[in-house]
This record gives sequence, C-alpha cells and structure tokens, in this order.
Amino acid sequence: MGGPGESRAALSCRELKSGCMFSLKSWLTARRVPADDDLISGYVDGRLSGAVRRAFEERISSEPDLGRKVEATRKLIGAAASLPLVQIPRNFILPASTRKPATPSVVWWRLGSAAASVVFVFCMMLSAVDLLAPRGAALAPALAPAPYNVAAPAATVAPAVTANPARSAIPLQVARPIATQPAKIPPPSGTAADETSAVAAAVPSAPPNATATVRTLGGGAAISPAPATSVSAASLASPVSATPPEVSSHQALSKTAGNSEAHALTQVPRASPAVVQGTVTAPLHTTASLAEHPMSQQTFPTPLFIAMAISLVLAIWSGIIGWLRR
Amino acid sequence: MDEPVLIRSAQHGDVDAFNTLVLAYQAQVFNVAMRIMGDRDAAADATQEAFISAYKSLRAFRGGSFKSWLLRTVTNACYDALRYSKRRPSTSLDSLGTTPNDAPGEGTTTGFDEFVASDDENPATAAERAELRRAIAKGVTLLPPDQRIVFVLSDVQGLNYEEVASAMQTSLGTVKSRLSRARAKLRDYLLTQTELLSGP
Repeated sequence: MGGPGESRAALSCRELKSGCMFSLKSWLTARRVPADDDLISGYVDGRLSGAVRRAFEERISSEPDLGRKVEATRKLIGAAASLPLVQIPRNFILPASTRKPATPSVVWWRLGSAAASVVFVFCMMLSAVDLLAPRGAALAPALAPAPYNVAAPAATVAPAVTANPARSAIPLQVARPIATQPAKIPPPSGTAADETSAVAAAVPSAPPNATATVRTLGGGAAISPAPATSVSAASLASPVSATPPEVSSHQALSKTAGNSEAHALTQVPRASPAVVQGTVTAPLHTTASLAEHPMSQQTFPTPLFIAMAISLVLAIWSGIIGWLRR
Repeated sequence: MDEPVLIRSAQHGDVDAFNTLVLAYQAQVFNVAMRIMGDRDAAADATQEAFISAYKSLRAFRGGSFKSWLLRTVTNACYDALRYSKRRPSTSLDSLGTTPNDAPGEGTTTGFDEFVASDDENPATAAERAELRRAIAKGVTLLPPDQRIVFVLSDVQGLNYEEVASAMQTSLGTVKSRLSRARAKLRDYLLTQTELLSGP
C-alpha cells in the first residue's frame, strides 16, 4: 500500500494497474479452464490422442488440483451411469382412434394447394399491374410536344407501316376532329394500308428533310382518359409553318385527307405500341375525350381473370382435401 | 420383435404395431425425459407427446436407428416443454414438500426413492450412493437445457458421441464441448454442495 506521502493519483494508478493485472489474469484463467475441461472430458472418455494424452498425464502428475478434477469427473460419470431406471408411471400406448400418419398424398395435396396459391397471387399481381399502370404516361410521349424529334425520312415511313399486314388490316378509328368537323380521311375504306399509302403519296412532294415522326400509341386502354384529344389549330402554326420550304406532315396529311384543318388521332388496338409514323414537326394537342372511345374503356383482362379463378378454386379445393386427409 | 416390419406397419397406420414399439421403448424414453425434466409428471407428459409426435411423423423416418430417432423426438418434446415452462413459470403443488428435506428435485417427484442398498453393500455406502445420485439428479436440472440433454444422453443413457450428435441433430464438436461444460459444471456443483466426489 502507499505510504502517507503517496499522492492520491499514484494510488489510483496502482489500483488501476492491479485491477488491469487482475482482469488479465482472470481472463487468462477463464480461457484456460474450458480447455482443461475439454481435456479432462476427453481424457476420461479415452478420446485424447497419444501425444496430447501423454502431455496431459504429465500435467496431472505435476498439478494435484488437476488430478483431483479428473478423479471427480470419473466419479461423476460413474455415478450418473449407475442411476437406476425410474419406473414408468403408466403405459404410453396410443389409443386406436389416433389419426394415421401423414401420407404422401396429403403432402402432395398440400403442395398443390401452395402452388395454386402462388399462381393466384401471381395473377393478382399481374392484373394489379395491368390495371394500375399509368396509361396516360404511355400516351404522353405521343402527345407531348418535345419528344417529336425528327427521326426518319417520311419516305421510309410508309414501308414501315405496311410491313405489318396484320396491323394495317385493322381499321383506323378516327377521333373527333377539331372545329367539330368530321374527319374525312380518304380513302373511304379507312384502312391503315390505305392511309399509309395516302401519306406516302403525299410525302414525296415534300423535301427530304421535312420529316418528323408521330408515334401514335394505339388502343383506348392505353390512352389516359384525362386529356382530351384533338389537334389544335395552334399546333398547325408550329415551327413547321415558319419554315416555308419545308412541308409539314400535318399539311401532307391534310392534303391527303382533303381537309386542310382536320387532323385526326389515329388509333390502333391496344397492346400494339407501334407506330404509325407520319410527318409531323409540330406538337399535337388533343381536345376530344378519348374516354368516349370504346377502346378506351379499361377492361379486366379475361385470361388473367380465368387463371385467377381457376387457381383460386384449385387452392381452396386442394387445401380442404389436404386438411381433411391429414 | 421384428422392428422394421413393425415400423412399416405403423407407417401405414397400424396403431397396434406402433404400440408394440411403444411398449419396447417407453421405459427408456420416459427415463430420458425424467432426467431432462426433473419432474415425473412433466416427464410423463413429454413422453406421451413424443410418442404421439413420433407416430404422426413416422413417414419421415427413413431407416437407421429407431431408438435414436425416438430419443430425438423426446428431446425435442422436452425442449418444447422447458421453453414453455420458462415462459410461464409455475410451481407445482407436488414440489412443495411437507418436510424440510422434501426439496424440489428430491423424493418422489424425481423418482429416486427407489434407491435401496443392494445385498453386497453396507448401509453407509448405500446411503452415500443414494445421496450422490440425488445430488446428481438435482444438479442436472440446474444445467442449461442443451448441456443437460447431452449429459443425460451420454453419461446417463450411455450413448456414444455419434449417437448423441444424431439424436440432437448437431455436430460432434458441439456434443463434445457441451458435454465437457456440463461435466465441469456438475462436478463443481457437487464439489461445492457435498464432499461426495472428493472422497476416495
């Protein structure tokens, strides 16, 4: 201990040091004891290898405390092994009414129920995605002014459209034109092929650089009901008209339609994101409500509905059978 | 007793065949549960639960040692019972002794009242052995469940390390470490409680 002249700081330092030494010693002891216990247990069971066993026996002979532990462990194991059997209080036989063990068929029924449930959830998610998808966002690029960058010459447009005979066979739907004038898009047959040919016939009179692209996403379901669609008159006074040498696609379309102001929104059935390419350099603005169009009604997809119904019935059915036969 | 035939019959729903297996193993299964639980009633419940569970999941038995499979089932049942009793601690009326010597873990509830001196053993030695066994039985109940089960299966039931590892579905190293810790704790407990282990 410190003498009377020893400062309090020195005493604290000594206490701290001794405390550290004590902690280190106890830590070393704590680390060594489990190792000794493992060795004792393995030695008593005869599971130590030759070299380890010899080294441990030397330690036993030199450390009486370790030897006492070994002997005590031996006694403990012997006493535990000699514990007599306890008489059972009763028989544990099962009554005859005990349910049968689970059969594999039950397992298969349960697996089937789980698989059908997974299919049902998957169909639910698909339908939810389909119903909640922002349809207007799909149409927005077609109606927004900015994205209509000049992409390809108009001369290349017509083959691109006519290259899809299935699509060209679908009659084009004509939305309400501006100024309450009915759209008159010749030829009377109104097919995409005819339309395209009409456009193609009109375009060659334009200079090769007077080309733009109109991407008309088809289908009422793909068009958001919010904005009304029509081509505004202002759009005709677009940068195209400010460049006289160029012929705007509106004008080309108007010429083919026989109406210089009537512009129609062409539509193709939904899920055909392609693309009727015209020659437009001006933005389109719509005023006629597409919600009025029969294709714009959001309908629940029938195949998904059928798949959901079937999977739901299967899940419930197999689940009930699996539960009854457990 | 043709054990595989009985097992196959029981797998197809023959309760009588399974009951034959129950009669063959119930003493050993109950004793394991008894040593683990430390209480006769709790051990009986765990044993019954283990046999019911074994019958229901008998399809999952893919051969091997049926005894090890049963011991695994009963240790799982004991685990569940110990966890349940840990969540909802309660004191059994049977454990409340009427005399000062009727401490929990002793007397009839632990089943060690069957200790009697054999013919070639003097009464003093028999009493000492009985006291040691009581102390061991009580000390086992103080061990953590995983160490307790390893000790019971290995040192009381006499299973080797591999069988214990199979019954507990654990590795051999885990069995060794748990067993050495259990033995050390029990040895230290007995050395502090009695002088039984320090004698010649």
